[in-house]
Amino acid sequence: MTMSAQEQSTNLVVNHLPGQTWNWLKMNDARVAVDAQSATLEADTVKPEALAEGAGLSPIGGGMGPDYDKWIQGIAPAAYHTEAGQKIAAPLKLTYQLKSGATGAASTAFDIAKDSELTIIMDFAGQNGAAGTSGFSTKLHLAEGALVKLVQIHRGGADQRIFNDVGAVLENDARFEVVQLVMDAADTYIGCQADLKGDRSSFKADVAYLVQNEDLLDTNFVALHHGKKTESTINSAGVLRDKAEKLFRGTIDFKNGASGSVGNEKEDVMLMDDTVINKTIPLILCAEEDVEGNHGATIGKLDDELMFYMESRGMAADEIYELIAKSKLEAASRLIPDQAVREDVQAYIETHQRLEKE
Amino acid sequence: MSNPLLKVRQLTVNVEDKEILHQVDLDIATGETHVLMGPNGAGKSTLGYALMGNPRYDVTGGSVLFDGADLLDLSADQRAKSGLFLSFQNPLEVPGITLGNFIRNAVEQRTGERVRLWNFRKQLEKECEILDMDPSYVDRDLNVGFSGGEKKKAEILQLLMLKPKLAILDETDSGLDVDAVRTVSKGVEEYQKQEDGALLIITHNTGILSSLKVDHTHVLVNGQVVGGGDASLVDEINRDGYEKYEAKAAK
Repeated sequence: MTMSAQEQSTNLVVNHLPGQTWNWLKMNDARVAVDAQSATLEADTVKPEALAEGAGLSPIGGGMGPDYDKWIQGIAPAAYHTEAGQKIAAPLKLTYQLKSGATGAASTAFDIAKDSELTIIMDFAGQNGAAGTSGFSTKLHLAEGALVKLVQIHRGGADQRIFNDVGAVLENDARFEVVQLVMDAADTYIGCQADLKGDRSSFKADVAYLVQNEDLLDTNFVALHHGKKTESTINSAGVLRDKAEKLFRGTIDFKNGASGSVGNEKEDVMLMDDTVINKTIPLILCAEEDVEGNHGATIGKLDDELMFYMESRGMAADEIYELIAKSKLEAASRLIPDQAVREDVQAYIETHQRLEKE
Repeated sequence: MSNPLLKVRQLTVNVEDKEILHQVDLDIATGETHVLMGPNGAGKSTLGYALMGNPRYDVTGGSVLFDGADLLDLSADQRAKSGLFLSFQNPLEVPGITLGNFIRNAVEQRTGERVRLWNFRKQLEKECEILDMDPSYVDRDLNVGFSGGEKKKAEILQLLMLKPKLAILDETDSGLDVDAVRTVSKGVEEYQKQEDGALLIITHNTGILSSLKVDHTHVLVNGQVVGGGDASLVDEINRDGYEKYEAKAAK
């Protein structure tokens, strides 16, 4: 489907930090001038037979925020739903080819019924030199006891600007697991919000990245704890090199009534050059006394002793840097539940070369 | 020894401007097993690190020939590529890189050739069996969450896969129980059998030597080689300690 191009570009304000900090830090949000989307990005889809299409969702907030929802609202979502108790073993695979010169977008909605399970794998793939803007929106409603594993792979398209927004609402005992691997794109904006509405619902996000050249990664992860005894875990691990810039926002928001809830966020960043820019803002908001929120960050350079250990096995410095640069992605790739995709991604990481800008 | 594999002459090494090794001489021939003993702080590990090329260890004098080439001209990775190996006393943890992937990269760097995955995997499994090591370890992040014994076995697994000409084992047996020492010793013996490899074993423990025929023993005290002999010297030191040698070093 092709939509008519709109003439004006828009100034999007995305990835709002739920609690504001000093404006001069420029971490409260990201402001991006972007053209109106001109085309729907169609997915190459491998759908398990048992998964039904159709049925939309009531609006669900994502990590990117209302500006982005408005920008993408003209795109009709591809919708899927499960039946109660349905455990679908095979994953739904959606592969998007990022286009050159276009501003494309895709929206997907999932209505996951009570006690059902689904794995979704989204592959955002592009050829080097395919300069353009691509926007994605994935919204989910998980009914009581539902389980969703969402894997998103950003690869290819060194000159792409990508917006990736995820939003989920979880009812009692539902669980939402997200794995995101980020490679290559020039500018990547990721927003991911889980509303833990139901009691004992849980959310786990693992994001791994390699950001290099003068690329940017701007992320906003938000866990909204509404229900009692809810759990959230946000793990962000990656490597920055050259003149890359990364901004990680991680918010655990304990709302009034979320007693007995636990939230953990952890960041592990390896800085390989003095010229990188690394910004981190962990935020724990608390309107409930009986909760536990933890955050930790490890930010470091390559240790001399580690270098020597690896050199003593015959690896030259360049080779060590490459291995370490890929190591966080390798570790996260092991969380991909589908073996074929996992092996494909691992082969991609292994043979991944530094992409040159066109 | 007319043409030794390793020929160390008058080696002097500083660490942070303090002289730790003083004019050390050492010759090791292909296939020989040498044991280096000495009290704590004698400089044994310093010798291992300096030979391997750790930049923290500053060689201020002397020469080292390895397989006919000047070792001191080479970086650590070049020394490894030329056939030198150091088993670390405290192997480092490398999150995100599996033991198998690490060894594969190291083998490719050492040989300059791409390894064939199937053959590589078979070889790894075979060496794991020698070391009584569950092959699933090769899919775990290198040394992350490994026990002390598992880390040492992972070092010997690398030794078996990399097939160096000379391996320096820096207290590979320390902190291991009797069974683990025996297993590690078996792995070292296998290396020597397969490769006719030379060994410099830094140890306080005779357990690791049980499967090996020791050719020479050296005693290092206060950064100087103050004694040497055959395999019987190991037993003598275990019985009598270093007192006699410390007195000699003091002179």
